[in-house]
Amino acid sequence: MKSREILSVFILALGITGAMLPGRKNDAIALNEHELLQEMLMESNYITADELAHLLISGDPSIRLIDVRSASKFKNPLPRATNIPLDSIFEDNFLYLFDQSIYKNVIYGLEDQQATQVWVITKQLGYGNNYLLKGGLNAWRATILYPEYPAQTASKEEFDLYEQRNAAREFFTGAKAIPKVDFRPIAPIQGRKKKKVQGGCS
Amino acid sequence: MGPIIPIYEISQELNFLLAFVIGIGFGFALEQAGFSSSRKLAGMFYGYDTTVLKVFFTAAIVAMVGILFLNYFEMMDMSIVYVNEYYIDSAIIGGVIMGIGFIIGGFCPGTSVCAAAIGKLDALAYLGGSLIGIFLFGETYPLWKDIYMQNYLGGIKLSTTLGLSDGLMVLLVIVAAVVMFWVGEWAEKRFRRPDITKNL
Repeated sequence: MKSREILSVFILALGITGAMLPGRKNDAIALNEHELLQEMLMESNYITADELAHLLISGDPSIRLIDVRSASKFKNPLPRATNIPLDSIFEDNFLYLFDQSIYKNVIYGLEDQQATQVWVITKQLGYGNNYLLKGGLNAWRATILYPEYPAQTASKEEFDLYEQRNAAREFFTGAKAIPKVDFRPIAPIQGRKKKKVQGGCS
Repeated sequence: MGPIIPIYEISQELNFLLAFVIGIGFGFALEQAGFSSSRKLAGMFYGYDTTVLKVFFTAAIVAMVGILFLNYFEMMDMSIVYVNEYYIDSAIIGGVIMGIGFIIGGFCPGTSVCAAAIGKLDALAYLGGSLIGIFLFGETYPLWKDIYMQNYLGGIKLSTTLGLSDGLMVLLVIVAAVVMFWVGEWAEKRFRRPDITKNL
């Protein structure tokens, strides 16, 4: 038998074996439950409202905001957000937005729930560059749009953070500046000095 | 058995480096197979040399069998392998242009780079022509855009379109390849050109 004939028989045999193999759907890319939990606990998959505000103000062109609320509830979104409702993420118009390596997608909903569902699906599909806005739009509102005035006893860092949030609020809402926080550390109450006893026979 | 290369553990830079090394290997293999000779390549159209058919069909069936078995043994996930997207009109028009270019110039785009790398003047001229074509296409893209985008079918596979399993599709292609190898061998004897040697 010539070598070409042997090779032909060999490759045909491989082909017949391959054709007889049962179809197998591979899931090497999908995370198992332990890996998924690990991913969910990893801080690097989340972005806080403060971090997002900073990135948006600095004009980072790589940020793409994806709002997963349903179209009827898509009101007052973050600036330039794309609305991709949870039930339509697999549509051809949208799926490619998740499967890419150019932008950092920040996925958010009103709270964490819906956005987390989308994020988990993207993880299972093996798509990278998808992040979750921690606390969703509610956290954004509570942190950036209506920042809470720190307690009088708060530290200087907390007051600084409050000022930063106020500045971000002005940026995103066009609201007027709130007078600068007059931070004065509370001085310890000084006790009365004991007066020397006067007079007498001292 | 896990994947050969877990994609989470490989950076984009390393990915490019691997592609670069594989590209060099591909070019080297093409050159060694004699694909830097336009007469050898054009022989495919006249029947006196069917190396092109044999090399590319061999590459295709080796890759198909490899992917099929690697997927079966869970060393590779076929569902995430990129499938080139199919635009019917573009594929037909592009195929005709490429075929005409191939028979006139004696090279296809890849082999022209391969031959240019070893200093063949006809390949350099061919490569220059390709670059001018690419430039003109890029500059006049808005004119062609509609034709270019027509009849888009996405990343479809022949097996899913025909409703066959991947394994059966592989077997059919292997049978076709083996038949074509024998036809090629027959054609080489039938249309022999002793005046065209390897040195040309």
